[in-house]
This record gives sequence, structure tokens and C-alpha cells, in this order.
Amino acid sequence: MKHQSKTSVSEGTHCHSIGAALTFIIILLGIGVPVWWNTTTVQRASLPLEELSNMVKLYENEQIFHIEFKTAKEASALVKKLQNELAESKELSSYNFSIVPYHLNPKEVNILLSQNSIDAIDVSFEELSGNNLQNGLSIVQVPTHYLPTGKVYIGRHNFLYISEEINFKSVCSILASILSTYNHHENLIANLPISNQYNVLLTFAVSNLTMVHPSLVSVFDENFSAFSKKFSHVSDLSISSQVVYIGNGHIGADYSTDNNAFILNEEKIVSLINVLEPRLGNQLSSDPTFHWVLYVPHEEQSPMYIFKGSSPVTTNSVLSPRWNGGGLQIVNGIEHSFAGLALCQLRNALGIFSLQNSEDSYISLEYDESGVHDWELYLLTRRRTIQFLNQATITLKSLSQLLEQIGNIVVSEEIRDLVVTSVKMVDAARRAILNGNLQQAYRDAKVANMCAEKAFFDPSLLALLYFPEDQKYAIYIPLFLPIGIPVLLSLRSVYMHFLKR
Amino acid sequence: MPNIIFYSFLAFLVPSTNTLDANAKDFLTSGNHTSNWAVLVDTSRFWFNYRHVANVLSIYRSVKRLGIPDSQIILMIADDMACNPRNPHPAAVYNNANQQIDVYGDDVEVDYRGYEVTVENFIRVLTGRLPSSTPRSKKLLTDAGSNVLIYLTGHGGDGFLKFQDSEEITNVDLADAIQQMWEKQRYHEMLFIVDTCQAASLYQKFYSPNVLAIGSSLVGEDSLSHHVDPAIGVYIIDRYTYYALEFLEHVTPTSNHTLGQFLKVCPKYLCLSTVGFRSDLFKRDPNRVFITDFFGSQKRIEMAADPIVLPPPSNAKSRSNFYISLLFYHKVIMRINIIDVLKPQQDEETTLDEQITIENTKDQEERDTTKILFCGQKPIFNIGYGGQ
Repeated sequence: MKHQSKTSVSEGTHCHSIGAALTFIIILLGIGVPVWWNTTTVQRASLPLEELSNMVKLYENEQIFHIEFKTAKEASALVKKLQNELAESKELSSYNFSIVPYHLNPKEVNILLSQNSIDAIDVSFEELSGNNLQNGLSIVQVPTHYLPTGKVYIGRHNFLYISEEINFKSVCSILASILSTYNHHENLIANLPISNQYNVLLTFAVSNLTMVHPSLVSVFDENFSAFSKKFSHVSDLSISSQVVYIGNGHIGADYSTDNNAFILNEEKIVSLINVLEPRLGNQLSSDPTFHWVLYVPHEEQSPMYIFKGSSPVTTNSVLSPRWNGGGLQIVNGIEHSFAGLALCQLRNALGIFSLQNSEDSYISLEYDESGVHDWELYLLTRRRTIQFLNQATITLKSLSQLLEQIGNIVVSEEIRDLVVTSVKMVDAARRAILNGNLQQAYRDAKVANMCAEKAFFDPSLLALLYFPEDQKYAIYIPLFLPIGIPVLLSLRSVYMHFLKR
Repeated sequence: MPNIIFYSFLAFLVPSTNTLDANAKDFLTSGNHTSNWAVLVDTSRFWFNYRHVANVLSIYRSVKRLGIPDSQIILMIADDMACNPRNPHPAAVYNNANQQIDVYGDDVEVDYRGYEVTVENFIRVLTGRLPSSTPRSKKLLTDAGSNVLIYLTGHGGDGFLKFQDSEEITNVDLADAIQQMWEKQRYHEMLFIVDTCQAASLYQKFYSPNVLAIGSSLVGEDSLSHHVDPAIGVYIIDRYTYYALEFLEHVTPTSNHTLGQFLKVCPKYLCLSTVGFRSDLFKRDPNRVFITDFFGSQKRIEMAADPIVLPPPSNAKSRSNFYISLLFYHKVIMRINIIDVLKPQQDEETTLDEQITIENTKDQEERDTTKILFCGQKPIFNIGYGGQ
């Protein structure tokens, strides 16, 4: 009896221990493992990977080039002729032109009859068009007395004027030269990188502060304000000026008795730039900065001229491609042309190139106070749209590749949102390009690029911040073993128990 | 016209290095990079690691002397040896016991110091993933046209480099960081130099193009220090950097020393370790590359284009130019900045860097801000460097 009760007790405890073991196993596998798994998995918001992999580079000539053909005559026949000519042209056949015939309305005809010069017509047409933002160029046919036969004239705005007897070849050649200048990649090497915001820093390097006459500043004032205002359709410019004190300015200029002046050769200029550069305070912001230095030599060393070889440089200035196209000018006296020179270099650095007049075409080389023509900005916007889109595409692709490679980086919701927005904006910009709405496309491309950059450079995307997978197990196994081994061993007894039954 | 500018730029690449002889002109090539940047890192702290600080300052001195401005040098130093109370020569760090060269110099701008020198910060600097509040001087703002010099020194082992005494960077981390730089077009060409034990292991895993890597020792070798200064009581510089500095001291911004020569600065009988390098990722022949392509910032210049014709200034509007004693006022569309250097001081030791930003409420419409910057002090031409 005693013996019996003993076995029933031991059987009872045995049942208890089996029950306990089963409970442990269930809790461990049913609750513990899922909780551990869920709390330690890397949070990865899903990215639109398929759309990312479908993104492709866009080429300049995929953009539609809108042309409005305005004439008082039968427009559609002329348009057809022009289209044929464009299709035959070697340089232009790859571009996508969309030419719309347009009959001049009475107001416009009135302008053509009443004005006395082509420049006046240009101004009146611009007023009539209401300063619309550019989505293309307009070709206007004007009476013979404005333009010699067969010639083409581009004004300050978006109008290209042709004479009554049209020379389609010259129209083609001027379009080709515009497009090739603006799309030539070699031209872009030494320029400021594309950005939504630029700094322009004008530096007056002087050895005597009283030499900075206010009129020197006012020379720049009007033109740079106007340029900056006009350029704000493309990017924001933040223009600053500063005066830097340079001591007595002994930079080793040689006195030349022949010229009765001090002479700086190339080597000296290079070291002058090298010495000035650290002092220019470009720590102002992280945006690309264009430097233009006006060096006012000491009284004892003026006048000072830059010489190339044995002849003086007419502009008395140099520029450096390794300075994003910025440069330096030596100022011996205050002249009005200073602003024109500095503005010209700034235009080049920003990628606005001046064209030369050719045999059968005129280009208005006289600028208004802003120093930039509307059609130049139109062409720049065209190019930048493509650049922004391609840059956004590259950034997004390398981001997705990076996240694919490194599995344990957290991808937060914000990053996902940025990537999704960027992808959407790239699509929207592409659609706007196809619809010919360049301004919309440009705005979208800018946003796309900004979001892509922001996502790529997000501080949370650092592999180092996260645990590699293999180390994760190394950390957790010591925690699991003390519980895991007894539980595993008890599995055996549970198995034996059920086997006996 | 822009074509002409471009070709004249090409034409100037070589002639502007004046000391070239005719043969060298045909022989040497300069890449078409547009800017030079340097990231110089000393990863170890404490007095007995004096030599690592001296190493990094030697390179800093050289790049600065050859023309890279402080704004384009990221200097990370884990400890301040110059101002350590144990330093018998306060505010000086010498490259040898005879006090030949004070590598600390007059003007050192340390961007990351002390405990800021971490693996995380280093990788962040390279990849650009820094918080948006980071000042410009702590950022590597390179682009597709930048040549980047990376110099690392500290205690290393097979496949890693120790940062401070707490963490290390592995060769895989480094290779990935550089690949990310390449993907985001953050460099044009890169020169990677590391002076540490088993240095060659750090660049083994590199896979990004246009990188030339140099290590002071091969895998399995130790990098050795040069000599002890009894006054300081510790080793004061490492062998590789000592001879590299000796070589760099002879380089001028216009000299035609090549990277190929730089690879041979420390033969085995001087270094006692084998200097390793890896050039399979680098497209150009090191023997034909100017050393100043990485160590200097030689400006190539070209003549400016002719000015554009602007209308004569309109006198109708009276311009708001103030000329208040020494300040002047420049009105622009986005901002008004008055930045001035006002104090040619008698005492050149003291410097005043002050930045006061005043919101300008005058012109709400244009959201102008007025900034007054006082940055300046010493007359520029009294400063010794500048590559004359």
C-alpha cells in the first residue's frame, strides 16, 4: 500500500513535471520566440523597388522643343517647309521639335507696322505676351525693312525674327548652334555643380580701406540684383560682398619701366589666388559658391596689370576652372564695365553661354540690366531639367542598391516617403516634358532631386549604427542557452513519457 | 566661344607649372579635377601616441603649404599633444629630436578633436551623411571633380584600424564607404594613405575605381617609429611619415614630382617595413601623375572672357548705399551681407572671429537679412605659406 502510494505520488509529480515542461516549451516557442523575432527584426519600410529599377536616363533630345511659328501669311505651308528642313539637318534631326502655326492677330500686325526698329518690336511683343515663363521659342516673320533678306535675329526675349523671304537653312543653323552650345558636355566641366541655391561672393581685397569707394559697390548693385531676380526662376542666388584687408599687398609684382606700371605674370597670379583663397570665408554655407575677387593694389603698386606673355590682358582679370569658374580682377580705377565682366563669368559658371553672331544670324548682344536674355534662361532650364532628373535617378538607384546590399540598415518611414515622392516627381517631370510644359517639369525635377538627395544623405542610413546579423546571434545565444538547454532536455523526458503510454 | 575657353583651359594645364622642362611637359599628365580635398585622421590618443599626432600634422602641414585651404581639409585629431602639459615645447610638435620642422605651425584648424574622432564620424564625413546642422568646415563637400586625399594613422591590425581605445574600423567598412562615395560621385580620384601596422590589409577590400592606395607595411609586418626625443620621452614620429614628409618638403606647388616618386619615398632599408601600394584601381600611371594633383591645389588659370555689354547705370533710382565709416552696405535681392575685415591689429597673435547676424526688417518683401561678419586680423601677406 505504502509502495503503491509512493508510486502514485511519484507518478503525480512526474505528471506535474511533464506538464511544467510542456508549459515552458509552449511559452518559449509560442510567446518567447515570436516576441524576440519581432522585436529584433530590422524595421524596413518597403521601397518602390520595381519603379526604381525601371528608371532610365533621359537624354536632352527627348525633350520637346516648342516653336510657335507666327506669320501674317499662310503659316501651315511654311511650318511644313521648316519641319522638312529640320528633319534633313544633320545636327537637328535627333531633336524633337513641335512647331505650331499661328496667325498674327491684329494687335501684333499693328506692332509690326508701327514700330521703327526690330528691337522696338521685340520689346512690344514681349509686353504683349505678358512676360510669360518660357515653354518654348516663337518665330516671327517681320516685314523686309526690319531685317535684310534671309537673315535671322534673336532678341532679348523668346522671339526669333525672320525676314519675309525665309532662309530656312539659317534658321536651322542658329537652332543647331544654340542647342549644341547648351548641350555640349565639355562646356560644363569647370562650372558650378547644379544646385537649388548658390552663393555669389564678391570680395574687395584692399590694403587701404578708404579705397573702397561706395561707387565701386553701386557698379555691381543694380546689375546683380536684376540678374538674381531674373535667375530666381532657375535657382536662388544669394549675393554677398565683403572687404578683405590684405596688409601692404606685397605680392611681388614687377615694375616695368616700359609700361610705367606694375606687372603680374601668370605664376604670380596663381600664388595670389592661393593666398587669398583661405581668407575668403566660404564657410558661409554649404551651397556652391562663386567667387569674384576685385583686387585693389596699394597706391605704391598701382597701376597694376596682368600680363600674358609680353602683352597685357585686356580685361585685367583671370579666372580659374578649379575655383568653379570664379576669378580675380585687378582694379586700378572704377569703371562701369566691371559688372559686365563679373556677370559674364558668373553666367559662364552657371552654364549660360554667350553665342557669337554668324554670317546669316544676329543675336542681340546688348543686354538689359539683368545681363541675361530670356531665351538663354529657357535653354538653361531645359538642360537643368534633364540634369536634375538624371541626378535624381542615379541617386535613387544607388540608394536602393546600397539598401539591398546591407540588409540590416533601418529604412524609416521618412526615407520611404522621400523616395516615393522623388520617384513620383521624376514621373511627373517626365510627363510634363512630354506635354511640353517645361516650367512644370523643371519644378518637379528640382523637387525630385532634392528628395532623392535628402534620402541618400539621411543621417540614419549608416550601416555602422546597426548590428550585423551574425553578431546578433552571438549576443542572444548566451541569453538563450540557460533556458534553452533545460527546456530541450525536458523535451526528451516528455517524449519518453508519451512513448511509455 | 565656350569651346575656345575649354581648349585654352587644356592648353594652360601644362604651361602653368612653370618649372617643367620640355620633356616633362609631354610626359606628365594632370587630371581634369576641379578641386582638392584632404581628410587627415589621427585615431589614437594619449601621450605615448605622440608620434601619430606628429604624423598627421606632417601631412597637414604639407597639403596646406602646397595650397589646399583649411576649408577643404578635414583634420581629425584624437589628442592635443601641442598643448599637453607634458610637452616641453608648448604649442609645438616637431618632426624630429633636432626640432627641424615644427609641424604644428602657426595656424592649425582641427575639425574633429578628442572624442569626436570616432569611426561613426569618420564614415559620416566620407559618405556625407551628417546632420543638417553640421557646419561647413566639418563637411566633405566634394563633387565629381574633386581629388581626395585620405590619410589615416594609428594602431592597426590585420583588417582593422583602432579608433581611440574603444572601437575599430574594418577594411570592409572602409571599402563600402568609398564605394558609396563613388556611387554618389563624391570624388574624381582618390589617394588613400595609411600609416599603421599591417597597413596593406586596410585597402585589400577596396573595389571602387580611381583609388590609389598606399600602406606603410604589408600584412604581417609592423610599421615602426623613427626615433625617440629624450626631452619628450616617447617616439615622436613614424618612419614612413618621417620620410614622406622629408620628400614632401622638397615639393613646391609648381614642381614636377610624381606620385611614382612618392611611392618610393621609404625603401625597406629606411622603413624596416615594406611600403605596399595598390594601383590596379587607379586608371593613370602613377609615374605620370603630379603629386600636386593630390597634395596641392594648384590653380590653373585662364583668361577671362570678354565682358557682356550692359546698359549704362540708371540714375533715376537713388541707390541705398551707405558708407558708414569703414563698413559699407550692399543691397541685393536675397540678402544683404556686410562682411568686413576691419582690424589690422597691432598684436598679430590675437584673432577675432565674430559673426553677428541681424535680421533686417526694413524690407519685408524681399526677406532680406543683414549679416555682419568680422573675420580678420592678420594682413594676409605676412603669413608664411602660399607657395611663392
